[in-house]
Amino acid sequence: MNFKKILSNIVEFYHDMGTVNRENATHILEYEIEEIEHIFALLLFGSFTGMPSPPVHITLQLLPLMEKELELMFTKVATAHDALGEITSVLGEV
Amino acid sequence: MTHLAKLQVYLVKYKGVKLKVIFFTGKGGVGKSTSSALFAYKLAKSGKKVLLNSIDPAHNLHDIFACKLDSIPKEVITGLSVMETNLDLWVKKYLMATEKEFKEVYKYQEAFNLHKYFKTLKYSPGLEEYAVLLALQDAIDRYSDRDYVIFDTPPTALTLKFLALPSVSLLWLRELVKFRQMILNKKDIVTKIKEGKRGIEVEKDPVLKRIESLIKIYQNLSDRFVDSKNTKIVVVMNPDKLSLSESKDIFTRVKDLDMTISYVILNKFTGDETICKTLEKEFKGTEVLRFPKNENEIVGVDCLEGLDLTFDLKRLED
Repeated sequence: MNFKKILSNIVEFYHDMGTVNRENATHILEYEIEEIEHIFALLLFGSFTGMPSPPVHITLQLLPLMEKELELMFTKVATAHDALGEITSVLGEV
Repeated sequence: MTHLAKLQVYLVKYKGVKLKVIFFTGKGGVGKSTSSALFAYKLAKSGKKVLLNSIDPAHNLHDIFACKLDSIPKEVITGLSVMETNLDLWVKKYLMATEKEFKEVYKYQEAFNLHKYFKTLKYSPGLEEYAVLLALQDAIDRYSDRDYVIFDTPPTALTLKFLALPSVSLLWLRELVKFRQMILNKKDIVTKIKEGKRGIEVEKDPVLKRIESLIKIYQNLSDRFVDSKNTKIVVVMNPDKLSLSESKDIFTRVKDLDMTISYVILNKFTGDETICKTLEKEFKGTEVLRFPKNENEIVGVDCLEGLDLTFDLKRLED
């Protein structure tokens, strides 16, 4: 193994270390963002799940742009019964 | 073009247009259609170009003008065109456009079963007043060459909801924009840590952009509604307690929305000045116009010709 190869492996190692650390640093924040996005979607599309919602024309005008949030909202419905499990899985990764 | 884009184009146009919009409102059966028809007729006779548009689902104008009317304006005399807007059609058109946009964007809509939801959306509360707004937009957009567009509105409840629509929407949108900003700020922190760049989340977020453009639209509409020089609200009432009570309610609600009632028309006036004194006390600063009781049915243009308006139409320019 020549010197160049060793150097490139070291650089790659530090780069990966940095990525892992950044992932760890942002993981809880990303989870929080996901939760707020979920609340934002619920606030807008609450009528889908029986909650009071804003004037229907506002909902409809934002609906086509919110695929991700809507998908998240439906995923949350599936995981809602196991909130504790979800929190421990988030904390477990830190 | 989507309804939103049309609304934006219309607002740019609407701002530059000098056309005056008059809404005739009041309790059911007080004579809104007759009063609006008389105003429209006399304005046209004075040389103005007028469009009279009924947005009341229970249309009366075809009876007054004794001819068949639909959503295409019909010229009844020189300078006066009359139309009856089909609000259900506007709801349908709007939902179809949204569904189309929705289908183009969403990949998983079949899995969500949201297409079924669209079928029932037409019964959603709030869509009817939005349809009124779209009908208003369309009428002004198409007929901006007129001097006046006069709307014969549905009974009080729907009209008040329609007039309140811009400010209610603004309340929601201002909260939503704050919420969205909070999400984007947090996302921005994540992007900064991971990629070393800031500000890109806010820049590229289409939802925030749409909320901001909606705020602009409703702010413009709200400004337009409170501009009493170009938008006049006329309350029509009869000399009876029920009608007076509802007119007082309209007054309070319109005032809450920072709008002004330009005139009160006391229709079927019998000559009893006591009620006029009550009105002048209740509606301080608003002129009360007296329309005498007419024993004969008002059917046909000739009947309108025979009626006296007792109002100087030039004052509508103020």
